[in-house]
Amino acid sequence: MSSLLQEIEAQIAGAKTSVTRQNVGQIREISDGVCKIEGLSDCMANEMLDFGNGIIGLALNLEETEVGAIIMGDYTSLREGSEVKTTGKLLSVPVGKGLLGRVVDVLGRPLDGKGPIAATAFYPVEKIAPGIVKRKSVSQPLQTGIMAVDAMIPIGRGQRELIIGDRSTGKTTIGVDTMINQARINQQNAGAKDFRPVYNIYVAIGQKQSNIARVIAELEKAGAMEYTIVVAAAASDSAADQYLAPFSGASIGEWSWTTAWMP
Amino acid sequence: MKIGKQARRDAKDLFLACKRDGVLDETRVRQTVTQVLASKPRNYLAALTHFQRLVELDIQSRTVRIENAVPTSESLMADLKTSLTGRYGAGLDFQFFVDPTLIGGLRIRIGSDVFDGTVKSRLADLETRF
Repeated sequence: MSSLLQEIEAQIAGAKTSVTRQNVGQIREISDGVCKIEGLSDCMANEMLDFGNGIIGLALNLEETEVGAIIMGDYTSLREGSEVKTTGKLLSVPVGKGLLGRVVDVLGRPLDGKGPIAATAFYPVEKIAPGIVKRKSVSQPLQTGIMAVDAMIPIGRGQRELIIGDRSTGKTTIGVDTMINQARINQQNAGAKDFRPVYNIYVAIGQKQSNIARVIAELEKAGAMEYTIVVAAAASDSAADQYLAPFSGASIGEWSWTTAWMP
Repeated sequence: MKIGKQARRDAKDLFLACKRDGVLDETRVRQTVTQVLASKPRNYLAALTHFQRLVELDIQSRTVRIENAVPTSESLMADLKTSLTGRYGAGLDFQFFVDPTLIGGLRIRIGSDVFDGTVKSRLADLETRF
């Protein structure tokens, strides 16, 4: 009971007590998750905007008299004249090992109903990646578990590989099989000296929710989910979510190699 | 009405010409509109529409809306006018309103800047934290 009281006390103490300046604007026009906002004179490019009720937007187009923004999440409750506030923060996602085994949306909010995410930090979505000179060259193979691929066109850690093909030819299957195989290798070598586990980030863009659920079920069944983060922007999500999902997934991955998570 | 780039540029030029010492001069604005309507240059309606918008935004940026839960006293009004003029410059248009739903405190809006010290906003902030 005393800890509960302390918690409430801390929250009350953290609530704002002084008057601060806020930069606000009004929605001038809105359609299909894109809006034009009047005001917001101090808005920055790529800044997160607070539309209220937990709806977040991203300022993309700064004009002389208005700001063009995309809205993430459900925009149907927003109307012309609704108030928008600047947040002073660039678009960023929560990062950390707490995301492993979780299914999150484009802003890193949990979708799996397993409670809040224990994030270590926030990492900006739009960040210039280090140049080729700063990167370590590829020196270690990454087994997909598919003999034909591993033998003929081997993939290395830190390499990009494009899987293209017609629909229903098994592109997702190759990816999921690789994730399961890596999870198996991680489990076999858990605790071994100098072993660096491979973590997976699966970004589902524009897929049916049933397909995403099926992939997650497969990963859970194979025990690969504990090494995996799923960023989901399903077909029913807004275009802004689907546009930002790959950047969000890449940010989560980038943070992991900029920290001690992967020595 | 579609307002082209050239019309926007023309409107901006007209708007800047209407300023005196950084403040919009009402007489110049009236003269500009009359002269443009009389001479009718190319795309003048689009340019004037955008000009009207720029003037509207400028007026908004110089309008101070002060909301108080109780009627504002004369001394407080004077203090507010002095401090806000010192911060935002001369030429501000002050409007005072009474809104009992704020419970207590003041909410001041100047252009797109808002200073919210009302009990209502603090309670809302506390609600989101819980």
